[in-house]
Order: sequence, then C-alpha cells, then structure tokens
Amino acid sequence: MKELRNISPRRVCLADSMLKLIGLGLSADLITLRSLLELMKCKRILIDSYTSMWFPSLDSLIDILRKLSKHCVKVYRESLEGKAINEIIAMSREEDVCIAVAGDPLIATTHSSLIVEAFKQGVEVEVIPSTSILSIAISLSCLQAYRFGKCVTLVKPRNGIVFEYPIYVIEENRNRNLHTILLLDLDVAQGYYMTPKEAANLLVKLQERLGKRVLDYDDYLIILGAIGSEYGSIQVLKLYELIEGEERYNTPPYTLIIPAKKLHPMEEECIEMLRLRKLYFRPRISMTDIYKVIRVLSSDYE
Amino acid sequence: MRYVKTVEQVLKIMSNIEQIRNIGIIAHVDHGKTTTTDSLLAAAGLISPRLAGELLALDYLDVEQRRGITVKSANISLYHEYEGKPYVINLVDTPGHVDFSGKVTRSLRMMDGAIVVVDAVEGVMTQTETVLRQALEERVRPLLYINKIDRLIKELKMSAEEIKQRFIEIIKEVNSLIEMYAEPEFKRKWLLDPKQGMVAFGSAKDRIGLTVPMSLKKGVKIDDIIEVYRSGDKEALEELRRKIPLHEALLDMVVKFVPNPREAQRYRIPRIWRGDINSEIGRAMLEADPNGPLVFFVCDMRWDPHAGFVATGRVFSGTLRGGEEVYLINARAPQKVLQVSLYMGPYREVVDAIPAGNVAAVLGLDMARAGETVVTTKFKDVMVPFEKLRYVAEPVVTMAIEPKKTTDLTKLIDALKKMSIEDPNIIVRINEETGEYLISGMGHLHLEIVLTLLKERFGLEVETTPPVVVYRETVREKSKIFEGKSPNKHNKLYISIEPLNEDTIRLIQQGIVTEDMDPYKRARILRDEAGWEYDEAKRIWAIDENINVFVDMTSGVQHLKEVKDTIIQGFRLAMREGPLAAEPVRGIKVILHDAIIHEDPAHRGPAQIFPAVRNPIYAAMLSSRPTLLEPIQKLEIKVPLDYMGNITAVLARRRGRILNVVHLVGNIVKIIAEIPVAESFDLANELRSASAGRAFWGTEFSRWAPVPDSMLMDIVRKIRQRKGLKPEPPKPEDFMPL
Ligand SMILES: Nc1nc2c(ncn2[C@@H]2O[C@H](COP(=O)(O)OP(=O)(O)OP(=O)(O)O)[C@@H](O)[C@H]2O)c(=O)[nH]1
Ligand SMILES: [Mg+2]
Repeated sequence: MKELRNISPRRVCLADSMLKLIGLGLSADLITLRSLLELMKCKRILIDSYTSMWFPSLDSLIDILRKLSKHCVKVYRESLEGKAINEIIAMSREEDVCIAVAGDPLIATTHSSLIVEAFKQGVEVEVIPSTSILSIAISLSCLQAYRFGKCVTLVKPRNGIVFEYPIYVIEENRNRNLHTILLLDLDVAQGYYMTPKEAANLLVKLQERLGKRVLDYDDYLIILGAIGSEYGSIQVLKLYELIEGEERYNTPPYTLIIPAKKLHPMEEECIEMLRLRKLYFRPRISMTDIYKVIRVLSSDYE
Repeated sequence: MRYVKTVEQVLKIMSNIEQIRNIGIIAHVDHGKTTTTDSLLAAAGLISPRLAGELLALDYLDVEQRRGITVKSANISLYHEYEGKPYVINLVDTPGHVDFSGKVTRSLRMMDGAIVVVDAVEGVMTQTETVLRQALEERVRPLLYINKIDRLIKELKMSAEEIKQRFIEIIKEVNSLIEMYAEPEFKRKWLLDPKQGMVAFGSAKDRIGLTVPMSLKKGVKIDDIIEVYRSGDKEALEELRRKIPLHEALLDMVVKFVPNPREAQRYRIPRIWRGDINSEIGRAMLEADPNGPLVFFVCDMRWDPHAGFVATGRVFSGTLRGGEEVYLINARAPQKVLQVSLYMGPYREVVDAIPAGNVAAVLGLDMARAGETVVTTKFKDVMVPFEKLRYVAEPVVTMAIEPKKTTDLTKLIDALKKMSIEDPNIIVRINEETGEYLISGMGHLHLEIVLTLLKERFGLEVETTPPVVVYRETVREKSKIFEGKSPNKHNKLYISIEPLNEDTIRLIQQGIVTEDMDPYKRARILRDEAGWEYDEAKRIWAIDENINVFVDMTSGVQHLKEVKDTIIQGFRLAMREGPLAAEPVRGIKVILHDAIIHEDPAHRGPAQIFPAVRNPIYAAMLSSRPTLLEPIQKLEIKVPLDYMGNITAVLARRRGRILNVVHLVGNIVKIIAEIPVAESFDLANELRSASAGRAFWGTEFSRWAPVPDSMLMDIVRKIRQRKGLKPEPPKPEDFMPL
C-alpha cells in the first residue's frame, strides 16, 4: 500500500509503446498464434533463457526471429532483475519491449516485479498468457484438477544449505489428501537439471532428517520429462522403483507429481493403466511450420 | 652411535611417566632461545658438541639461519640424568618474533613448564611479559634463565655486586609478573626462589650455566666466572664449561621443578579442556593413562616433501600406535595413523608406539589442522574437543602474489595452501574480480619469510605487490532501518546496524563469547558484562571472524527459518568487504527487524537473498559515520638516554605516541610507544640510524584504532584505487532499492 503512493503522475507515459510479457508455452506445439503475432509486431525482444526450457529449442526460435530482422536477445537473470528493471522500463517508453518467456510469464516465474514497477512508472503493460508446466502436468497426470494442493520447487542443496520446506508442503497436501506438483530445480545457465532419481533420494533424505514419514517406498510418483519435446515422457513409478532403478531419465526438465494418499477410484485406475500403457503427447509442429506461419502472419501485417 | 642408543633409551624411559618432562623455552626476540636450545641439544648428544656453538641446529631452515630467528616450532626429545635417574625431556622451541605469536599460544599447550630466557643486559621486555602471561594462563609453570651474563662482564664491566643486583632486579620483575598473572592457587608455589634453584644464569653462547644449589655443590661463584672472562683465557673457559655446563643447570632445574605429565595433567586438564573430568576420557586424561582411550592434541602441522603432512602434538591419554584407525573431532573424519615417531633434533625417528604424556609426530592425519583433537574412534561422539585456540593476533599486512612462470600457478596455490595449514596466521584468499591471490600475515617480516620459504622449500619464484596494510571498516553511529530487496523483489529484509561496544568486542576477541557456545550462557555473559538486553542477546544468529554480530529481532516471519542459513552466509560475505573501501568490517551489530520471504525455495536462493542482506547493511553503514580502523603496534625501545630525543623525533614523524618512559640502570631508558603499522615500514632502519645502532626494540600488535578524520578520505581513495574501484566511495542511495 505504502508503495502505491509513490506513483508520480508526471511519469505517465504519453507514447503508446508498452511493455509486453509474452508466454511461449512449453514448445512449438503449444505456442499460441497470438504469441507469434506479438513476436512479429515487436521490434525489441528479450528472451528469458534462465527460468525454463522451450522445445525444440529457444535458439531455433531466435534464429527465425532474427531472420525477420528482429532485434532479439537472449537474456539471463541479471538482465531481468534488480537494477536492470529500470533500464527495461526506460526502453519500453521509447518502443514496445517484449519479454518472451518459455511457459507462462507469470506462473512459476517471478516476472511480476516487472509489471509492478512498470505500473508504478506509468508504463502500460500487456500480458499474453500461455500454457505452463503447471497446467500441462495436471492435464497429463490422470489426476483430478480439483484435488491439487500447493506446488513447490525441490531445490538442490548448495553451500551446505538444505531447503526442507518441500517436505512440509508435501506433508500438508497429503494430510489434506491433495496432490502435489513438485518442480525440480534447474539452472539453465549452468546446465544443471535435477533428475527424478536425485529428487527421490533427496526427498527420502529430507524426511529422514526431519524424522518424518511423509512418503512411503510404495507410494506412486508420476514423472513428467521434457514435455513438448520428442523425448517427452510420462511415467508412473513407485518411490522405491525410482530409487533402485537405473538413471534412465536424460531428457530434462522434469516435474514430479506426488498423488494424494487416497485416490479416487478413477484416478487409481488411470494411474495403474499408465504403468502398462503409454499416454501420448507427440510434437507435430516443426520449426519450419512455425516459420511458415510467421511468414503468413507477417505478410498480412506489413 | 650415541644417537641410536639414545633412541632406545629414550623409548624405554618414555614408558615411565615419572621420568618425562614437557617443556618449552620462551623469550623476547633475540634473548637467546635458539642458542640455549642448541646447547641443550648438543649436550643430549644429538649433534656433536663441537658444532653446537655456531650451527644453530634448531634453526634448520636456511632462511632462519640467515636471519638468525626461529620461524617454526620444532620439537626435540632430550636425555638427562639427575641423581642417577634418566629422564626424557620433550622440548618445544617456540618462536619469539611477535609476528608469529599465534604459534606461541599453541605450543604452550604442549608444555608443563617453561624456561623463560631473559637477556641480562636488556632485562624483561614486552614479549617476555606477553608470553609469560600466556604461559601462566595455560597453567605452564615458569622457570627463569638469565642469559648473556658474559655481556655484563665484558661489555658493561660490572662488578660481582652489580651483577647480583642486576639478577635481583630481573628476578623481582619476573616475580611481579607471576604475582600479577598467575592464578591464586599457583602463585605461592611458582614464585621464583633462586635459593632453591628455580633461577639459572649463564651464557648460552659459551654454554655455561649456574644455579644457587649448583654453585654450592660445585664450589663455583660469580667471581670465578668474572675472573675467567676478564682473563680471556680460552682454556679456563673450556674448564668452566666442563664444570658448570649450561644443560646441567637448566635440565636439573627442569627435572626438579617441572611436574611430570601426570602430575601436570591433573591440574592442567580442567583448565585447558572443557569436557567432563569425571567422564571416562576425563579421568584417563587427568591420570595420563597409557591404557585409556587415545587423546592426541595436534599443535603443529608441517609439510614435509618426503613424508607429507606431519602432525605434531601431545598424547594426553592412551597410546599412539602406527596403523590405528582414529577419529578427528574437528574435521569430523576418521583417519588412519600411518606412522608414529618421536623428535630427535630436527629429525623424526619412527617408533611403534608413544604413550600418554609424551610429544609425538604422526603421519597420515592430513585432514588435521593445528588445534585438532584426535581420539579413539569409539569415543568420537562423546569426546569434547580441546578449547578452540584463541589467537591474540590478527593478520594486518597483505600482498598480492603470482608466480614468475605462469605455469607454476597450481604449484603456488598448493604451496600456499600447505603453508597456511602449517601456520594459520597466514591467510590466503583470492580476489574474485582480478583473480589475484592475496596473502595476509602478521607483519612485514612474516610475509617476507613466506616468500623465502616458497623459494627454498617449493622452488617457486614469485612476483608480489608491495605489502599493504589491512584496514577494517566500522561505524560510529546507530543507523535507522533500511529495506533490502532481492533482485526479483519477492524477498525483503529490514535491517539496521550499530557499533558494538568495547566490552562486546573484547569478549568476542578473547573467545569468551563465541558463535557456537550455548546461546543462553552467551546471553547471560553479554547481559552481565557488556550491557546487552537479555532478550536481544538471546537472538544472536551469527558472530563472524572479524567480530560482527547478527541479531534476529523478527517475530513470526513465514519461511524465515528456511533462509536463515542463507541470510547468515550473506551477512558473512558482506562483512568480508565493507562498502567504504572493500576492507573487512569490524565491530558492528546487524539487526534484522522484519522480513518478507517468498513461498517457493526456487525464488529465495542465495542469488536472491545475498543482495537483500548486503544492500541494506551497506546503506546503513554508509549513513552511520563510517570510518576505517588501522592496526596499531606497541613498540618498546631501550636506548641510552642521549639518543632519546632522536628516537622520539622519529616516532613523532610517524604518528607515534609515547605512552611511558622508564629509566633503567646504566643511563638507559625504556620507551613504550604506539605507532600505526602503516607508518612502520622501514622503521627498523630509521631507529638504528637515529641511535647509532644503540637501540633495542620489540614490537607487538596492540589494537585497532580509527584513522584520523583528516586522513580518512585520502586513505579510502588510495585503497579503492589500488583495488581498481572508482576512487569515491558509494553513497547510501547506491544500495537502496528503486
Ligand atoms: N654474548 C652473548 N650472546 C648471546 C648469548 N646467547 C645468545 N647470544 C646471541 O644473541 C643473538 C640471538 O640469539 P638466538 O639464540 O638466536 O635468540 P632467539 O631468542 O632464538 O631469537 P629469535 O629466534 O629471533 O627470537 C645471537 O646473535 C646469539 O649469538 C650469550 O649467552 N651471550
Ligand atoms: Mg631463535
């Protein structure tokens, strides 16, 4: 509340340029026409390349945009946070600035600070939502959308600091008989992606450390890997199978779903079938297709 | 031949605790420790007596031979017969130069008695007092050896009466220090009584020495010694040396007055170990029981190119055997003892086992650091480690270092790592921006020696920047509360700072208040002795190495517990380089008043939290009359009265301050002064020329003091420029969020 008072009326922008946050979805198959259209119109595009991955690859998308002589740069955390926010906002007074983000720009990422700051400085903002891992995980999980609890990221211990919080979240959800989406830590810049097996071991270690019994070795886990890519996979394993099994998962990023303790009969059946049968979500749109679409769109707009 | 035999004899005697003594020799710089040690070594038959005079066997590193000072504590085992009984005396040579006083403290743990060497001409000096005080604090029993009496005769031409008078003065002075620093229950017993033979006098150079009982027994008087020196008769001196050898005077004294390890451990363990003395381990240590659980205290780590790391220390209980699995309490790791040996001069002799009460050298414990406690694995969970060693000195001089050949970089890093393990007063850091390696030490001489050692031990030629004095940043006012935001703005910390009071700084510096102690006990001490509110003192989260305290005054902040460790790390990082000149921060209290923390761990990692901790601290510091503290040295100079004017002029030119001037015998004055380390480059040469070489002096780290305001900005700019920062320091606004 305090901060709202800081808005200075003089700062209201008269030009019609704005700041746009554009969701790219998870992959070429999931990007919306509207997002493509925005990318076409925008001269200055910043592509967030640290919060998640995009399939087949962000670089191929950038190539296409550059072919169309867009000013398009890949940016890291420093360029979208802290003091850099002011620069972006200053830029967007001059001309439209589009920040393109894999997934949905405001889900599971922290770009809301950009919006708040832009509001404060009187810059107009438009958000183009898109599919995020949260919605996709739910659609592909066999579980009922009504029964998901809090989601949480499982973070790799660094510098001796161990985040125990995820165990509490899972515990709380399970106590209330809700499912949990567990995002696994990734660091795109460092090329680090937590694997499901690593996650399983970490969860077991955490609960032992806390003297809890949140997960049993017999509990099911739903493992989503590289959704939207041609290697995308959906698997159901018991905790012990994951821990004892081979590290087969080499297509990051990963997401785990920890089902509620007591499942609805339909959920249960579906999960058990998933152990035997495959649920498909195969990519069909190639970058060439995207290129063609963009060409068509742009010819209409020029 | 005698050498081999002695090893056997030594081992046999070592198993009988009544026939062991652990001692050290402590003294002001140049008063003759090494020469004394060497004559003891010669008499114990480890090197030939003929060589002893010149070849300073203990100063075995070339560098020391050239400089004539002892850098490393070496340990040797000596053999002595007293009243027909053989004894093994473990002798620790301690360095006298102030720059290494951390080592003195450490080696005091090894010894039950100390021979305090005092130069008869110079008398009791700063370092004599410092080390004697430290020895008494560790319950090490002092004995006195007045050295260089030949100089009283040859140089000062004193009469027998004057010499006795001089002895009485020195004994009085030492006794008044014992009176002042010893605990009541030891005072009476430990005051030096020359009649009983607790004081020896002699000449280490000529290897003669005498005590009152020895004088009576052998019928040699001071007049006889004066006669020999006056005559200049070489044969008479040789004769005297046979009659009253220094080692006999000293070792008789040691055997008679230094308690054996069992006797000593009975009253020393409760002082130097904080565990339960009624536990199994406690009882075994009190009794120095060779059949009890193993407790080995590591006092020294040294890199030997042929053997790897050698851990030297004292077996307080049990028996140290080669091949045994042991546990390192501080390193929290099991390791295997590969080899056990005892010291013979500079050499180690491999043996099968060394029982409680003795000093031993061990191979295989390369994870140990000086101060480590090693125990039988079975006791790893119940063993309380020895107190953390308290260092009185802090590194004050730094330089950047790089190899002449770039290909030597890894070798250099490795060598520096080894040296800082051996000598914890050497601190090696990397400058993250420039990638330069920085080494810090206790003074100019200390760093010079590091360089020489690099060359001689590791064959490394290096380039260095000129040594620079390390400053500290602090503040003089309490700040208001500042907001710190993480880059993603989802985390906010509300922080203020204020200067710590003198009492708090002292309590932390003396190791009375530490980070890992019981928080309630800590809170009580801070309340009773430093005026803290109990409730605030109870909420201390961290105390960093440069004496800064982090206090959590929040209540009910969600997820705060989860980021506690990250916040503490951020605090420590911020304290390493302050905002003014990127120098370490000292003496501030950082208070966290409130916080907002993001729900998900992915959005509150170090990259987010560190800036949210650092920025408000920096903004607060810059708005609270920040200043620099500079290291101040204490200087004690003895000089003939005629030169006093010259000397005071030199000091005045260098911002020195005279604290006290005392007239001594023979028209000599003792000047006690303070001088900033920054002003003491090349001071030695200037003092020498100002006194025609007649001044003696000693220096010692004294304290940190604010630089004069008139010089502050100038120094800040110079430091910043040197570090490649823009010369003007930042403003509080630079660390405030948008
Ligand atoms: N005249 C005379 N000189 C002595 C005597 N004992 C030692 N010296 C000299 O005093 C100087 C210092 O002696 P060291 O034995 O190196 O003194 P130290 O206490 O070990 O010195 P540091 O290791 O530098 O602290 C040397 O030049 C010795 O030759 C003595 O009995 N008489
Ligand atoms: Mg010496």
